[in-house]
Amino acid sequence: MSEKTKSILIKIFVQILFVLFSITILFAFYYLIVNSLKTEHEFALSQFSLPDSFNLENIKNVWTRGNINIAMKNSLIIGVSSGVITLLVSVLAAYAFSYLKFKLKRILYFAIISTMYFSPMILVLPLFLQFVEMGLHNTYIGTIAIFTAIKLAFSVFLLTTYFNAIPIEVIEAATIDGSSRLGILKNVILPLSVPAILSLMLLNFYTVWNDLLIGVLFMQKPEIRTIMVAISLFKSKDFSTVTNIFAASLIATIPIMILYGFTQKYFVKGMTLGSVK
Amino acid sequence: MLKKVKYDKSAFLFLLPAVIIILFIYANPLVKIFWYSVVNWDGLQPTTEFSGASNFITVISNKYFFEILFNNLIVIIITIPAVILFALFCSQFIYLRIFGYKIYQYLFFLPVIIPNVVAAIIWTFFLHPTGPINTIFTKIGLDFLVVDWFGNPRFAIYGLIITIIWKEVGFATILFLARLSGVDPSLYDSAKIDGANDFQTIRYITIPQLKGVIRLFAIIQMIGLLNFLFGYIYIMTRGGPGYSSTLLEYFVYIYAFTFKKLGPANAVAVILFGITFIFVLLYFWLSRSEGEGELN
Repeated sequence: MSEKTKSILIKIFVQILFVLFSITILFAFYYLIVNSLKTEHEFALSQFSLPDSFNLENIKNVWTRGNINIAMKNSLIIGVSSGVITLLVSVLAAYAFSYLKFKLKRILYFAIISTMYFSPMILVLPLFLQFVEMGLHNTYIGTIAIFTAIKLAFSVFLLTTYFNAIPIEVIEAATIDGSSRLGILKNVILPLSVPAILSLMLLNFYTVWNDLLIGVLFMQKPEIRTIMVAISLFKSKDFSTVTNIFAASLIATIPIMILYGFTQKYFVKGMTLGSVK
Repeated sequence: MLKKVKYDKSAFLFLLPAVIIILFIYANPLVKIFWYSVVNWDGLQPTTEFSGASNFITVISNKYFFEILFNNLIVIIITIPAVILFALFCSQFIYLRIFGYKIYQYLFFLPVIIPNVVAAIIWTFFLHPTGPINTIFTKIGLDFLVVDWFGNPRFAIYGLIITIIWKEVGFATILFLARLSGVDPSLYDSAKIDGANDFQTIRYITIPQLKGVIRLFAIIQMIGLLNFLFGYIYIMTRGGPGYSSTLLEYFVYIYAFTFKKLGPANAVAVILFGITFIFVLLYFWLSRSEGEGELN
């Protein structure tokens, strides 16, 4: 076999592989959409076909009876508030790690950063007991505190890396002008860090939206349930049908896809930075 | 002469909020799992009665413990090479602008964005006995490939693995692609002139050039597979049938919330912490030698 035919065969092989992978991805979306518009009976007949009619029953059912609307609101509240708190706390910490000299800096930095690699599962048992005792279980505040901590390491890491890349001359010039520390942070560093802050806000929100474990354990009342917990319940609830599960999954995926569509660059940048997730 | 370094007292104030949060949510429960794992539990609260290694002995003598450890191992040794190999292919041929590369680049990343729970639901149905994959196999006459993935203890864990690979490949691809764009293009040009085919190029140029990032990715992935699979398992298998798809992380949950045995549950948490800790140290050590994550 000549090198030329070999090279063509490799290209064909790779194309087949890529097309198959693409099909599974496109089909996953197709499957989710068409089956959330079908009746149970239609689904039983064929999982591949288009729905007979444009049937919004499933969507309506999960929205009201399944309380997906409330669950989305809860995840939004927790995601946004913990996101804002994480941002404030991590900006201050990252400033110290990037620009100030102090004892035990390396140890403290790595201690904070390392928290991002451990499963929340390791912590939830003692936290659960303590939160019940302190009355923080089943409250927004308690859960917001947990998410703030969970996302802190990544946020400090991302911002410290970003701050370190800002040329020191820029900071020195501002210092000579007589700006205060917080002034420099607010007027010089933060405006230069907008892309990092955007990435961080997006990924932190995504973490909350995506979470199942914390929601399952810490938000157990129906009215404060988070989105992924609400969906997971459709798999076991009697009132729901198979097609309801698809409708609920679709509703939970759409906001994330829209967000991703508008902010793709920041999403990907944040995820790949320093090869850390 | 030793120069006295001027330390900044105000650093303390900048770090205070972060330190308080980490102490409360991470350090405090971490100390407690070590404590809880060596005391007796009576009812809901731990006692102060020291019980030595008895919780650990309970865990290790559980007849499923080694099956569960082995499950962790299977997930790691299949998922990581599969993701890396496939992502190398994807990044290499997207980099070389194979026909349709722009579409592939966009599509392959989409599974990364789909929430874990949703991906788990989709694949539960894909792999269902009457689901699309088995239907297709039946239609094209490959009946022997028809498998009840989540009903059969031999296959449940592979159903899980397939889902994770599907979801992770896009991330690794983007990561490798970012690193590839920093590789000197003349390396690829000269390989072409030398008559190397695309497989040889991957083998002799891409892999050596990406060695550092592949290694870091493998460790991060290892840590992730040990620590962040709760969502998949909870939705897809609940660790079953039997314990065939239970991993250490999920075992903590089962001990605590199904068996309501909090002593052994904390012992498993300590074991999981210990294993993860070793990999985290390894990761820091390697990323330092890669020149990443350095402080000023």
